[in-house]
Order: sequence, then structure tokens, then C-alpha cells
Amino acid sequence: MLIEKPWGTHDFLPGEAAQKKQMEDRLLDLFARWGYQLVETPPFELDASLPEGPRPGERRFQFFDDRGRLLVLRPEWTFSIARLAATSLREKPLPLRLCYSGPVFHAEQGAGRDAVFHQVGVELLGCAAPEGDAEVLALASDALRAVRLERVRLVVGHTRFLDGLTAELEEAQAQALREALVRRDLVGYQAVAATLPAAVTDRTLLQRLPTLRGDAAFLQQLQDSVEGKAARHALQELLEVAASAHAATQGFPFLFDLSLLRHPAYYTGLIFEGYVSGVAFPIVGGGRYDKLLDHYGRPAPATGFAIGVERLMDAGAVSEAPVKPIYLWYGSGEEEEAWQLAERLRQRGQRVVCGKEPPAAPACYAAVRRLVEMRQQEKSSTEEVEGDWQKMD
Amino acid sequence: MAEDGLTIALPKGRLLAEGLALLAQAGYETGDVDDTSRKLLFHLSGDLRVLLAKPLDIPTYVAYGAADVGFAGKDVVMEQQEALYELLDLGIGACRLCVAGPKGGPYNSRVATKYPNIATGYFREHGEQVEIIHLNGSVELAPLVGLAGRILDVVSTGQTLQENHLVVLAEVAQITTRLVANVSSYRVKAEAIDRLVERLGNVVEERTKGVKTL
Repeated sequence: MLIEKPWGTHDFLPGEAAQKKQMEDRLLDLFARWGYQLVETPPFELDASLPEGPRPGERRFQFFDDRGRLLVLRPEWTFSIARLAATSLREKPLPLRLCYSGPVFHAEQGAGRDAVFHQVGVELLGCAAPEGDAEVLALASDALRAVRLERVRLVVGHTRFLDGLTAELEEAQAQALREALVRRDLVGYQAVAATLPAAVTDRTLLQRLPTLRGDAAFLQQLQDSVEGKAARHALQELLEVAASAHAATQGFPFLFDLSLLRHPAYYTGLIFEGYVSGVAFPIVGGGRYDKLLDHYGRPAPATGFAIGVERLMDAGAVSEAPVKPIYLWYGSGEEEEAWQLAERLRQRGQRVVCGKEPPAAPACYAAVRRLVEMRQQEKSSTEEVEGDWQKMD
Repeated sequence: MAEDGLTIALPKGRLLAEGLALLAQAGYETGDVDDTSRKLLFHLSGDLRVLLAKPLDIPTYVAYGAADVGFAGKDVVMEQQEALYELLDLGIGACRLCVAGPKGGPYNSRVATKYPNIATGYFREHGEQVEIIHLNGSVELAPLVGLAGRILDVVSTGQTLQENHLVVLAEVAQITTRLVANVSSYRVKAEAIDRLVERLGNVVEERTKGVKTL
């Protein structure tokens, strides 16, 4: 018999699982305080209902229902939330603030990509730029602070900057530039950019694009050298959003990067990713997707982000250490009294394991006590009991 | 990934000396780095750490963040298909990735290569059904002993092909060594990496100019 877990999956052991839940709870609690409501959707969707097929390099888990219809394990949450907003929540007025927590599934393997990973995130539906973007960016920043991450870098870009700069190019050339950026091939990008006709409005800017990154002051300076209206407008929007998001949270510093590009068929405005020193992959990603809800028949501007839970754990974003229970043991004829005592302790919030005879592995417990000891301790006041345990540890 | 400073992965072997020369010219002290001893990790001045790895492994070290940046051949980058940034063409290690075989043909459907991913993609794009045979070296032997009709491999001077009575049938790609970066390091250590790109870029540009004026 073959006993092993499927590739790309991960068991969360005692301690790990508790830590993961604490982190998710902490984030959902924060989202709730920003007015976001928790929703849950089935782990799979009808393939025919999804707005787009797999992205380059992406593979999905697919299977059939009993009527032969193709089902897909959710490759991301946003599709499901958008479907929800356009169907079950159709009558609810916009803007909708929704949040979620749970696994997503990808059938490909590679560095930093598991078959199952967990995301906690928000979607803000029906709120246009720039207000919506500022809220979501500030919330992302707040969320990373809530799980006590330090040295976070939020990288912010705008899809319409590149769209604006490439508007007058031939589509094939614009496409080649975008594809190089998606592949992260800046050498390939520059090779294409070098062949641009001299008459192109912001030609030098396009050629310098991979180096266009810096702080707000840099962006401000850059604005003067942008000829194209659309690109200039995108910069203006970035500056506004960043200023209000930053003021809202005194959050992490932004690194503006105009070559940042995430799934160009999907995002339509401000996009961002968060990185932490010591973790090799982005821990949060999101942005504006104003076209997606069209597909579901309830057109509305929308934005959101997802945080990778496993990556947060890699980054050491941790809450309190897990608490061990105490072990209460009893001899023959003491069962009833022992169980009653344990019950009283549990009602006071203590973690108690109750058993006959001392435990085989005492190191698993915060303390090991015999019923007689506990009986005497309980005679003193409640507060003292709790104090005593701490001393005895 | 070290918290501060940069870790750079360099390929052991043929290209190491050229890579070190580039770094030195760019103003980085390369100290006692060499691949003749067993030492694989070097701490240099200016918060720079060098690790030496097999050329084929460089993208893996960088993708997982064990190194922030690395020098990797375009052939290796294409083959490994890891998510990483390709920042600069370093202009060293120039060669061509080619399909080769005995002169004339016809060829059977087997192609031997060290690059199964590139080969699969290339022949699919050209609408040709082939069986890819993955070898780890001495690929040019395959046609001589009937293991495969053709090979897909790097060609620099063409001497190896000639000695084995093979000719280039098609060019797949022009290859040079690239500066690659981990996606997270590229953001978190933006300042240090931008500095490295600028300095190396200047050296590469100088060299190209030098070649042109000769």
C-alpha cells in the first residue's frame, strides 16, 4: 500500500495549524473592523462560468460532475467573489466589501508554487479609482502590520501607464513589450524597445521603463517628462492614492515601479505587490480589475488583494506561541470528582487533559498534577490558583 | 537570502574567470574567489557574498532566494523556466543554441539534448513531432551511435561539431550570460541591485565600444 500525500500539498501539524489559524483570524478580524464581511464559496466552480482560461504556465485541477460538466477547483478567489456579487448578492447595493479565507488550487509545480495554498483577502466591489485603491492599499499595509511583519516593501505600479505609452505603437510591438515584462525579461524588453520608431511620443521613457522605480519624489519629477496624457494621468492617480493611503495608516514605504505588470488581460489600473526581506516570493498581491464584473453581468469597478498565508508563515509573521494544556490525573474511584474539577477549570478558560495514571509523555503538558494536589489548590481563591500554576511552571 | 548585502551566485567552470573580471571592473572586490578549492561560499568586502554553483543550478538558487542575483546563461534560463528577473546582458559566454546532425539527412524522430524543455518547445513551435532524449553531456555522441538522428545543443566555435562530422541545421537562439535576480530581492534590495546593474551595465557598454573601435 502506498501511503504518502499528493505532490505539492502540505500538512499543518499541531502548533503550525494553530499558528495559521491565529494569523487568519487576526487578518479577518482586521478586515471586519474595516467593514468587510466574510463570505465563503464552494471550492470548485463550473469551468463554463469562469471569465478566462489558465494564464501562461498555469494549470488547473479539473474534473467532471455527474452530468459531464467540467468543474475547476478554484484557482483564485476573485472569480468566485465576482460571481457571488453578480448572482446571490445581486440585490445588495454597491459598494460591497467582502473578505475571504481559504485554499486555492494550482496543478503546476515550481519554485514557490504549491498545488494547494491558502489566501486571505478582500474585494472592494463598486468603488472606483482613486478612492477604492487608496482604501485597499491602506488596508493591505495595515494587514501586514497586524501580523507584525517588519521590513515590508509595497511595490506599486499602474497598468495604464504602460498602456498610455504604448497606445500609438503597432499592436504586435506593444504586445511584445508587455510579454517581455510579464516574463520579467528586461533584457528582451530593451531589445524590443530599441527598435521603436523615433517618432513615438514617449520613446525614451519607454526605453527607460525598467529603470523607472523610486519613491513619491521620483514619481513627481517623472511627471514633467511624460508627454502622453494617459500615462501622465496614471502617474497623477498613483501619487494621489499613495498620499492618502500613506496618511491613513502611516504604513510601509511604497516603491513605485512602472514596469510592474500583473496579468495584463485582467488588471485595469493600480496594481501592487508586497515583499518581505528573507522571503523569496511576494506575500501579497492585488490591484484594480474594472472589467471582470462585466463578464458576470453586473458591471462595476472593483479592486482587492490576496495575502499568501504560507508565505506569511515563512516570513515569521507569528502571533503568540501555542499554549500547552495541563494534565490532571486521578486514581481508582476518583473519576467523577476529577472530571468535575476539570470541567470547572475549562469553564475558566484553562486547557485541561484529564486521565487515569500519570501521562506517558509529560513534556507535552504545561504541568502535570494529581487530583489531590489540585483539590487543595482549588480551596484557595480562583485568582491564586491561576497564579500558582504560573509559579509551578 | 541574507538580510543585508547581496548574495551573488556565479557559475563554476569555464565562465568563472570572465565573470569575476566583470565584477572587478565594475568596482567590486572579488578577493580570493576561485573554484579550484572546495570552498563554495566567499564573504567579500562591501557586504557582498559569492556562492559558486553548477551553471545549470544558478536559476534554482536565485528563484528560491538562496542567492539574490546570479550570472546565468540564457540557455539555462530558458531551460529552467523559473520565475526570475533577467536584468542585464553581460555579453560574456556568447554562443548559439543549435539543432545539429550529420550532413544530408534524412533524420529519425529522436533528438538528443541537455535541454528537454527548450527542445520540446522548439519542435512544437515548428510543428514537428519528435522524441526528446535527455542526456547530461557529450550530446554530440548520440548521432554517431544511432541514439538520435539530431541533437540540440550549444555551439561556440563549432569545433566539437566538426570533429564529430555534424553540421548546424538550424539556429534556435543566440546565447549570452545574463544577470538574473530573485523577484523578492529585486524589490527589497532595489537600491543595491540597481547599483550593481548600473555598474555592470557601464562595464559592458565600455567593452562593446572597445570592440567597435578596434
